Amino acid sequence: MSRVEILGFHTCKVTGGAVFLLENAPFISQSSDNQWLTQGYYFWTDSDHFAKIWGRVGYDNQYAILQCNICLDSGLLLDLVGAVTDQQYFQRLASKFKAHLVKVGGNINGLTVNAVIDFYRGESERNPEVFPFLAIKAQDHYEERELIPFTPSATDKMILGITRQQLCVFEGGLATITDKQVIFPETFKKKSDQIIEARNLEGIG
Amino acid sequence: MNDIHEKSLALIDELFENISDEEFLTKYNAVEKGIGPLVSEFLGASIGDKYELLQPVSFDLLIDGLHYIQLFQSGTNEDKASFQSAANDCPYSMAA
Repeated sequence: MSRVEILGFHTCKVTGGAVFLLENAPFISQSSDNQWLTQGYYFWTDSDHFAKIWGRVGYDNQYAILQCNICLDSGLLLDLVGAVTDQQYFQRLASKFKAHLVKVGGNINGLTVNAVIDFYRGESERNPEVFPFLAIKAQDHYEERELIPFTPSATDKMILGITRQQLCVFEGGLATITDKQVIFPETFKKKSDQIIEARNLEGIG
Repeated sequence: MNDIHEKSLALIDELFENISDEEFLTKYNAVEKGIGPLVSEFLGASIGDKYELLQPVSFDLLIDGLHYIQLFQSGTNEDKASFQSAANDCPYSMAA
């Protein structure tokens, strides 16, 4: 099985300082959070762009950013951004759940992605093969983006603009999170860099 | 889809065959907190809606064929007819 390596950016409060964050972040989401991919460690992927925006919006500009590598077997990542087969699979998951909910007389109008994932994660506690993933990557549609035809005569269009991708690593996938470094704010970054350099000199991972 | 997906889906079929309505609804009520996007929003509300309105082609086909949906939204009548014919010929199985 191939390995997947994802560059992740975790936004958090500055509380505790650089050393504390380097040692303890990322922080697992809490029930009060908008954890729409269920509980886990949340990252923005590939760029710190949205991590900074989230810091300004969600933490009133009092935020830090932890950069990490998340490395895991490809079969343990449910990639709803870049893997069509994973998208197909998730659609089947949702479809089966929805069909069964209808069958038992449940209300499907408010069925959320979070509920579908949480249900299957719960069932996987008895049998991991039901939902064998350590992480989910997904994106949401956050704004109207420009559509541009592929060719002058094409009716098919491409969506311009960057995608807002999130990665949720479940608690069981904590070991996949490596190479942590605090990259924002600058004062924290300097401290983090010093600590990491010292560790490297001492031969500590 | 790969072996991991297929195994998971087979186990889920088995799960839904054996779980009682009461247990399922209890578990559903426990997990549904109204957090985040709806399934219909996440998978594309227009896709889900159009699936219901069009015809009983496979749900998989409709989702896999995002191109199919986009053509219906923006294509000519000729485009629609052409793609509809292709969709009818698709070997995909019926929705679960």
